[in-house]
Amino acid sequence: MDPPAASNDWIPIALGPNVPAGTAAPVTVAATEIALWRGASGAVHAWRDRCPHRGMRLSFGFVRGDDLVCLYHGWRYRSDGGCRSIPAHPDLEPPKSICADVYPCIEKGGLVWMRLRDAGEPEQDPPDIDGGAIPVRSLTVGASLYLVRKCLAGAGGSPTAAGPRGPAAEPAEIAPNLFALTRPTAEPDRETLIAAVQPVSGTRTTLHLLVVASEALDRRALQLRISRWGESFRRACEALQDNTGSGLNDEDNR
Amino acid sequence: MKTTDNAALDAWYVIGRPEDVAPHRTYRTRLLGQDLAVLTTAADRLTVHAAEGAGYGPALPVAVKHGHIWTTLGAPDRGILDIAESVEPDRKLATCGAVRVRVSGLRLVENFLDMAHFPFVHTDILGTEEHAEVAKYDVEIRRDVDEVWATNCRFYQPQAAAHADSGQVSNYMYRVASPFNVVLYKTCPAAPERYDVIGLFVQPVEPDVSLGYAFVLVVDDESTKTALIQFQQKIFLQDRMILENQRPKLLPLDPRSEMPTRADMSSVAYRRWLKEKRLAYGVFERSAA
Repeated sequence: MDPPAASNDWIPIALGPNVPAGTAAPVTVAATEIALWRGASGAVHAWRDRCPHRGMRLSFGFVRGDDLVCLYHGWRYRSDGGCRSIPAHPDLEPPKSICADVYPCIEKGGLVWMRLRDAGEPEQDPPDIDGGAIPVRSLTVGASLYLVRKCLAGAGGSPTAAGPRGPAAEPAEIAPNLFALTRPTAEPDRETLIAAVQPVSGTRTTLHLLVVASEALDRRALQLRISRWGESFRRACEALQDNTGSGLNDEDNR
Repeated sequence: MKTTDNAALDAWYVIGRPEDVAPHRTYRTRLLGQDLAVLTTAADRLTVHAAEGAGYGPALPVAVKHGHIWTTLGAPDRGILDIAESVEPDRKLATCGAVRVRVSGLRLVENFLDMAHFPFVHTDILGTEEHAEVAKYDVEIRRDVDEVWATNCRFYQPQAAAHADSGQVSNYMYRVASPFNVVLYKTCPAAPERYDVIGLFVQPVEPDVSLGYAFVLVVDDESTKTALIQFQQKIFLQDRMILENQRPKLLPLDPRSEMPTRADMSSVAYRRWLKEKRLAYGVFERSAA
């Protein structure tokens, strides 16, 4: 499993609108199972996907207010990870040793970011995206992080040479795991495709796509175009992955 | 590949039911990593063999008991468990057949012992959130028979059984007869002085893949066997969704890995008992493939 750019970098794991308030869902980040959930008040959380009681995945749990409740025995966790109540023992104050494994998690620039390790000292916040980005979609590519990054940077040749449409986009990695492909358009404005890169496993990588564009452009048409670009990018990456001999039948499908 | 864990090999296991073996066909299955073939001979007798390449090894010990086919790959020091209620003439035996679960068989047994999940996993059937408290119960490892027993268990149940039409406080006793075989005895709604028997026999296929055979042995004149089976299967499938999503898939025996409360005393005893037996198969810390 290729490590992310550095082990304590911020990793983008979802587009903000794809994590509705009051829901919990599983995400795999660098081969680590994560429970991603959002409380009623809007705060988003990334926890190790495992209840400390009997190992049940917390991503199957349900959100009540700003608490996450485990589906197996109803153990209820506050947003700081501490256990608030254990239904089998209503009069018991749960010991502080019972807590979920909480990862740093911040929503910024339309993306949800997490860190797999806490560096301990205060780190920089995840990057913001100038100009306000419109979320488009997330899609998972059957290719390694290494290959996806290479293709985004243009060294691979095929996927980005044509850009979203017409002349070549100028790719740049503007922050760890965040690529911007800026394309001059006919108008004085520019259009910038943002691709946030999330390693899933050794052979799977998720791209979270957003776009920064002039107000004048038709938003729906723009999203559709970026989405199609993402699909052709995925096909090109996966073709390259197949050529390197690593198929999709691996530990992911166990 | 067959395991080398003797603690696992020297025991009897269910590998199917007689009705699963079609006459003149070979029924194939796997136990502890060993491929098996079950054949019916011309005299309608069952034989069980290790599958070796294209052929079969010699016949293994085989028995039919409690509606299931049992075999062993080793030398067990005791016979297949007895269930005293099985000789009572007014009992119905209903067997559900195999349900495949992608998790260690030991987690299946532990889930069977657990009451605290009734309000959340079997909502409005075996439990309800308004009555989620698990009262203190008694647990012991009975050394004379080498079984784990939990007694004096009580739980309020909206629909305790297929034929229950109102809520009741059920009284339970749990009996782990061997690491992969467990039964419970619960208050019979039709005859409150007797116990219904519900059991789960687990066939460990791989360390993290199991077949669960649920069955009931009940005093019930009203329900058909189909209704009994459907009720048990519904319960089991609700559990399967949990079981396949526990991490790790193998059972950790280190008390520090998973945090028990007083409601979990039967599972604490079960894990300690497994540790004493030095069982490796299906256990997280000891990798016995």
